[in-house]
Amino acid sequence: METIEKLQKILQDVFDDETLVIDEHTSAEDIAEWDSFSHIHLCAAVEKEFGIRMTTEQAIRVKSIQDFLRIIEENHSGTL
Amino acid sequence: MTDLIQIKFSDIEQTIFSGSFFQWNASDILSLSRKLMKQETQLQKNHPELHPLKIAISGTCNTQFLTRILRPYLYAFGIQPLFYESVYGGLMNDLMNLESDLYRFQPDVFIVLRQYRDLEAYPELLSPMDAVDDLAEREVQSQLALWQFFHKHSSAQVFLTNIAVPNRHVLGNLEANLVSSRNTYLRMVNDRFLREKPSFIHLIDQEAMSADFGKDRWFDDSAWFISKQPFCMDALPVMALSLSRLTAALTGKMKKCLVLDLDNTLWGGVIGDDGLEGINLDPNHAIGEAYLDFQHTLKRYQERGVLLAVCSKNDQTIAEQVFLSHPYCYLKLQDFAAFIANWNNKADNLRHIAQQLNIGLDSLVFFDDNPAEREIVRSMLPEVAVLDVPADPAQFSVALDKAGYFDWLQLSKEDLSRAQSYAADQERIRLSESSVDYDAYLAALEMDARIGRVSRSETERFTQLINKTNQFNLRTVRYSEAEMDCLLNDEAVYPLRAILADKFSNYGLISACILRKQEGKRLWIESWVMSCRVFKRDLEKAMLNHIVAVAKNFGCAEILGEYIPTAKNGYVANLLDDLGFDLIAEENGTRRYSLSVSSYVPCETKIHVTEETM
Repeated sequence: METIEKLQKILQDVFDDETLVIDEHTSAEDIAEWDSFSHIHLCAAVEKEFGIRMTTEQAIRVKSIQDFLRIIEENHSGTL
Repeated sequence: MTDLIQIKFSDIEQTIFSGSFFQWNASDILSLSRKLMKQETQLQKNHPELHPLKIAISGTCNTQFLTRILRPYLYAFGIQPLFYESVYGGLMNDLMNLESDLYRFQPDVFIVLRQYRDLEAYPELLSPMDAVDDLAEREVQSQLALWQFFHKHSSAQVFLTNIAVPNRHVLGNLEANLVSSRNTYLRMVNDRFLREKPSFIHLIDQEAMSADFGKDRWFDDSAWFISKQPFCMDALPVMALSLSRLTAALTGKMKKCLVLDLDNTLWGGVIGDDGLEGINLDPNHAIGEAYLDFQHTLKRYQERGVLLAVCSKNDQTIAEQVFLSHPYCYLKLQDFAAFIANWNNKADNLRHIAQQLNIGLDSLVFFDDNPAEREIVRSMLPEVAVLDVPADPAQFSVALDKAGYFDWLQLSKEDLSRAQSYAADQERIRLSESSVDYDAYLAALEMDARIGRVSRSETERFTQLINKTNQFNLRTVRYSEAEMDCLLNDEAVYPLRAILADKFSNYGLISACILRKQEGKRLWIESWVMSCRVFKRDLEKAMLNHIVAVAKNFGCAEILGEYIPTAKNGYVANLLDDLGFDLIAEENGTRRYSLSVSSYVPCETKIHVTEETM
């Protein structure tokens, strides 16, 4: 599965909305339920799924799918 | 990742009540909980057996995640929660202000997370022991004062975490060598709190949880800085499991008996094939030592009041032989409250054990190395808890501890003597076999009872008995310790208890009854419970004599009683009829009774009763 597909599934789960469709430009502003609580939930789910650990800076700055894609890539290029 | 998004309502229901999500990671459980919240009304409608409970949660940290994750756990333990959460940082205001939402909510349980960051003052380095002690004492006293204030105005039971000593060691190894070090100090605060805490506070052992989990993972400073979570996300399920188990214990849902297989569970090998010399209990062999160690663990469970029983596919005499004559077998036959070795299916045998011990199937835990047997019991007797036994006997002891089935809220003297008491039962059975009739048997038991008002020192046991008794329980009313405190100080209430001994054992306090004087010269039996250990001894008759005396003392002309049927109290469905009460009303199975005091003829029993002053 492509990274973005995995992310879509995670967002569907976290926001409990199976119709949710995302692309890399989707951001916190596009999803009404993306509040501070679900932000933490989302970060935790992404960390689990991709086996990464975000820094504090990354976790507070990430606001869009593009941000997540970059963080996942950086983490993986660092370890692989 | 668990495939959550397509999951149907019935699957959510199944996932929650089977507890299969216990293995999931925290973010998946958060998602499950979100789904659950959307369908909560439906779930509650499908499960009228759930026990509703008001649960307040607070702390000096963010408790949102814990609350969210607790929800499915509580349902899994048969509890239907109604939550109140303090706003972040609102604990002090909630506690100190009697107008606060906390007091308005009237919680049954108040869960409070504490952490090392709550402490403002630490000892100065190189302070002497007594200065450190003084500081710890002041810290604990100021907390206790808050809780005493709370207790005066709320009947809630308090689940308070102790402090997890952090993975911070500014002094390096000196942390462990100086009494003035922060980590030493935190341990002292924990110890002192334990020594001085009142009984309505139940400490949640966060220190042990974090140590078992691994402190470097438990503490997540990033999560603290970002969202004020006191520990990492992955620790939430650990905390939630422990809290929900203890909350369930509060409502009387407790395990009482551990049922064990024999071959490859208590020893290595198969006694029927390998014989006494062939089975492995050799203290000089790694595998033998593992089984022996497990036997030692089981003995400790038995000593803390858990009943041990055997359920094995074996020939009874061959199986017993191991306990009678194997040189290294640590457990003895008398350590088991029930011993069934035959070739019948284990589900039937478990039913038989529950019956023999007079306890519900839902208080049994089944421990068997054979996955096929476990599966049969799981599917045939869903009420029985079945432990996931690891393949390696070296892990048996820890697996049993970790499963946490015997996480009780209290331990009483009666709990500790229970095992001996069951051994005496065996002798009693022999006596009954040799007696000509039941009356002769009762007389031969030489029973002595003390019947009267409960004393201060007995109230803990009194409360425990009322809250965990299911069978002999007329109305199944449960009381928190705080409610009980109010009750005991109420002049219109007479809390009656009975203590019974016979020539084989002293049962201690085994019956409790709450009598309340009402308008119109009536005495109301608000609650009446009796331990199944002393059924069919006519103790209820001896107690009724006392109840009538209490009624006279209160100037009452009539005694009112009520039977509210539950799934478990069929034993007392006709108790009041049998005691000579008149049925006066019946609605939806609930029956109300009346007994006239003036026409009462005292019951005769074989019990020698020591009357106590009222």
